[in-house]
Amino acid sequence: MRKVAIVGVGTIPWRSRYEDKTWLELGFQATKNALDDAHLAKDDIDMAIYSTFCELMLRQQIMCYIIHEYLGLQAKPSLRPNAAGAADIASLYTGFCEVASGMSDIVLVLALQKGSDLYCNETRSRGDGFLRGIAFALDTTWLQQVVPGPAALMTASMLIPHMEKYGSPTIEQLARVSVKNHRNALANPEAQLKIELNVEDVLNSRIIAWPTTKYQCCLYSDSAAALILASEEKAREMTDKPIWLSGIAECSYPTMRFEEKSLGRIDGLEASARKAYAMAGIKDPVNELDVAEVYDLISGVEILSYEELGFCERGKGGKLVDEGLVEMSGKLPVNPTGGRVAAGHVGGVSAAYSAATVVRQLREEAGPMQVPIRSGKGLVDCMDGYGSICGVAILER
Amino acid sequence: MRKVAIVGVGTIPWRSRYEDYTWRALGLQVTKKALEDARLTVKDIDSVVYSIYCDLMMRQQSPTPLIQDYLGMEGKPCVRLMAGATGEMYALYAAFSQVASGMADIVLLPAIQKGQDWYSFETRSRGDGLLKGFSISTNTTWMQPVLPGVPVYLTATFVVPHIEKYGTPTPEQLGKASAKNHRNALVNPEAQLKVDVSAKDVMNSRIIAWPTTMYQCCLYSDCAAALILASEEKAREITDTPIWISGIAVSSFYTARFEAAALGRLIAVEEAGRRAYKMAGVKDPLHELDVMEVHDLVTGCEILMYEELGLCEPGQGGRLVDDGIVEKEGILPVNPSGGRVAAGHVGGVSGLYSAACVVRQLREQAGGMQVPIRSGRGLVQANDGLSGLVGISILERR
Repeated sequence: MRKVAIVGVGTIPWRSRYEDKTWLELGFQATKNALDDAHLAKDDIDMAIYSTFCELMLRQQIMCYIIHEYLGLQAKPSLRPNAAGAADIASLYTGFCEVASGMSDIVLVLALQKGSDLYCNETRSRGDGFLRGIAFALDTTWLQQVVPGPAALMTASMLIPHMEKYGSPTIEQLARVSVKNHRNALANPEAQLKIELNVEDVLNSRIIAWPTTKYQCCLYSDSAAALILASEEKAREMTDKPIWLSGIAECSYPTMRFEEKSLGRIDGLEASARKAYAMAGIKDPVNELDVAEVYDLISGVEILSYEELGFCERGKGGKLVDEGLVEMSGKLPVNPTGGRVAAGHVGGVSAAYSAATVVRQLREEAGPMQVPIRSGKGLVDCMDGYGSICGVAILER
Repeated sequence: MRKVAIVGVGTIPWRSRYEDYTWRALGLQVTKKALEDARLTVKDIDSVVYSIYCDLMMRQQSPTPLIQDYLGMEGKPCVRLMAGATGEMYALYAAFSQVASGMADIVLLPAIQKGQDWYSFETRSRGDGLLKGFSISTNTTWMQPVLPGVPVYLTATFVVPHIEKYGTPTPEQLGKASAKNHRNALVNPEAQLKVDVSAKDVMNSRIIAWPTTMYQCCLYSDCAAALILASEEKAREITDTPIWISGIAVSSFYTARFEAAALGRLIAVEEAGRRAYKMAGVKDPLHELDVMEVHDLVTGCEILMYEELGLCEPGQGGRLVDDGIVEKEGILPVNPSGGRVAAGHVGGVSGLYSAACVVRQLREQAGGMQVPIRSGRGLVQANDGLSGLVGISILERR
């Protein structure tokens, strides 16, 4: 298996709506930024992989050949992996295989999604249109009719059973994680939401599904992010700071997550982490990783993820928050960008964005968001809003 | 790059509608068959790559995690490749990469699509519902409002300009090629349409868009198919007749194809063909291949494809029909399964079905459809309705 590096990253600011740009333009901009970063031209790209969670929202089925042509890549191979909200990690996985196998030397992984061109006529809200759109990803036979929304589903099936079993996270811990991420976002020029919050503000914000409050829920955005992957040989020609994809794994797990063994768990995340760590040779993540971008679709999920990712024992995730281990000043900063609650979020893009920011962290080009780089390793995770597909990637300098 | 083989195939009959099975049930059936064919169990599969063309038609967005669960594959990596109606070839390409890279040793590749659970209220027709569903795969900004339908588009953009330039394919040649496929389907137990039509019957059938007549258009079906891919090491443990994927390429080319240079040309087919041949070391396809399964979405495109795939000079495709070269008894049989006009067709599935047919041909397990296997190589080609997305694979028995 050949080694695979990320040699270029391109991101754009997160916005709740890019009303003046089509999805094609967002993809184009991110791609240009990535090519500029890698000092490459579009003709250097051997093949492209497109990550879009929901093309329905773009009102264009089979979006891949249209963006492919828009970028001027026609006649070259392209793939578009679809894995619900984890399309981004699935695309990174697919891109990895493409380069590792030798099928291509330089691969563009472009993630893009617009969700806000939808509209709910009854409530006259774009946000509701968006939420309805993503609900179609639920099992339309069994679940869609009864699930009130991803925040409620995750709170009920993951957060609350965990709290019942371990007495943690406490509501203060949940609020602290949200405060951490909102504060981190203040230093992120691309973050969608820049407000200074304290624990009171978070706890007093509108209840979505107890104990999850509004400021503990991820944002909904339009955005795009691009990564350029290269084989070892090409990477060494192109840059002094290739960032290696030393571990990557993706896995699915049951969608009807109401069995005893799955309540309070994000099983797929643990399984993916185990495989990715094995591939990257990581045995002690807290001490071996310098930075992690972890999906906080709700703040509770971030805390549970610490446990699933092996940062601590089960039930002890809340303690990491109390001890400040995951703060910017702590041993393993989590979500220096502001995470999903403050930087921005849309399925199919966020993990690609996270990967881009971890690349910058490891290159020590993260500006005011920079954390200390000691071991030169970072982690990106990803999960679908209904939790059925998860993935983890380890990046290494 | 590790070598990759197909070690198991699973197919079910093509039907215009499987009214009594859900899409999940169809996926389960072909997965079970492929596992039986390979003598493997669910536990042996490392990763699953899905081809599902249109989730809308199945009223289920992001169907992947649900079917993954249903097939008992939870916990394993899963990815679904989408590339219009040729997603299956892109899925094959991705599955190939997963094994070739070493990330997986055994990959299951199910393709599933139901299109006929739809309904057009205006015309009270399921078929029209399906065609409407397809139309959103076209460029919804520029094309969808004006596109009259896939057969018309293909005829106007490819067949007619080619006829204007070369004088072929003639209506008789089109009739013969379509009749060939319908005749071939008579011995395909899984074919949807078994009618013995003559070239004259074809020419006299309802005009869809001159010169394309009804019998020259592909069918529309519900179906599923599954393949199991394995690394060389595993393949040799699993079977005595691994069928190697010695060449594979995908290409994506132009959605608004009205430039003069592109009219009458299936450029993406030539492009992907060239790359696949190079990878497989094929220099003279006409003499080095034993069998081909290609997408005859309209019969005219099959004939153009002979040229794009290098079986003959440009403009000479019709001659291959007249000389009987592509008949079952000819040097290079094309579509012994009956092809898309007679076996069946639905985007996302047909290419994998074609691959399964070629695997069986090379294993000499094709029953009544069997053609002589001399060099042990076959070609599979699939494209989407606009012929902008193409996948080609060379399969080989050694």
